[in-house]
Amino acid sequence: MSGMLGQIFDRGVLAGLERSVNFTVARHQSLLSNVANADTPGYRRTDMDGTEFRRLLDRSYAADSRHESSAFDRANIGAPRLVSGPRGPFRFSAKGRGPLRHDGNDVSVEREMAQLAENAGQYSAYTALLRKGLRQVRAAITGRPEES
Amino acid sequence: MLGNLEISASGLEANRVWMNTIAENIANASTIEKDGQNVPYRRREPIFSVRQSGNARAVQVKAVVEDPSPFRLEHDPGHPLANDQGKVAYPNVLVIQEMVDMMMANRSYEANVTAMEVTKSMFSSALRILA
Repeated sequence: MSGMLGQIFDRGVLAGLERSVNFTVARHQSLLSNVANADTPGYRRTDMDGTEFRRLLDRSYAADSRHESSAFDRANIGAPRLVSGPRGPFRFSAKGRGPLRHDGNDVSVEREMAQLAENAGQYSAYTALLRKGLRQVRAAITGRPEES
Repeated sequence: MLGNLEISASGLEANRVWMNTIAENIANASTIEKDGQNVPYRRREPIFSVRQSGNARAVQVKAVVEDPSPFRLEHDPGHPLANDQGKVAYPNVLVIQEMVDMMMANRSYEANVTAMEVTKSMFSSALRILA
């Protein structure tokens, strides 16, 4: 998107929220896979690196303010296929690996469920903020104050 | 996002197959006869493996295989199925082990149900963006 609408939707807060929503969805899928494979021999858990994501997000805000394209634009963050793999901005993290069980699996269901809940909470916060932001845009367009 | 429900569904399915196998094992824990011979029931267990499609890594039951561990031999010369040494072979099923496995399968099943509910709540908050 370009022009004035692009300024609203592709940069700044709304774009940041959209990226955050995409990140939590990708992480949700990782955690779901871990839960489903809790008893699969040899399965190693995967997770998304939140620290790395926040670093990229900060950089994208800085790039937005300078009107430059950020790592997100270059990587086309909206495309789910780039969510995986080491080349995409959402990197699978090896940091969260747990102790290996005798069957070569390192999933702890308790920890996965806790992180699933945490991640879903973040998702609902981001979507609520996104909803609020879009209402503000609508209020600006229609000239009517937004209904709560 | 629909794929997410499928991941959890695969977990439910795999654990249900495991639960069925455990039920078979327990039900046949004393089955020792087939066609008039002393052929004990052999314990079976499912093999779980990863089914990857894109980023999603679901679980699947690759096969249900027989446990090759030896049968339990009991000395019972009066038994109609006893062999020349007076021994009767019993299934290689340990009921306590099956009970422990059953608790594990149950726990994993419930974890997948909860994960599915979390996904559903994310669906509805996504729909509220436009409300």
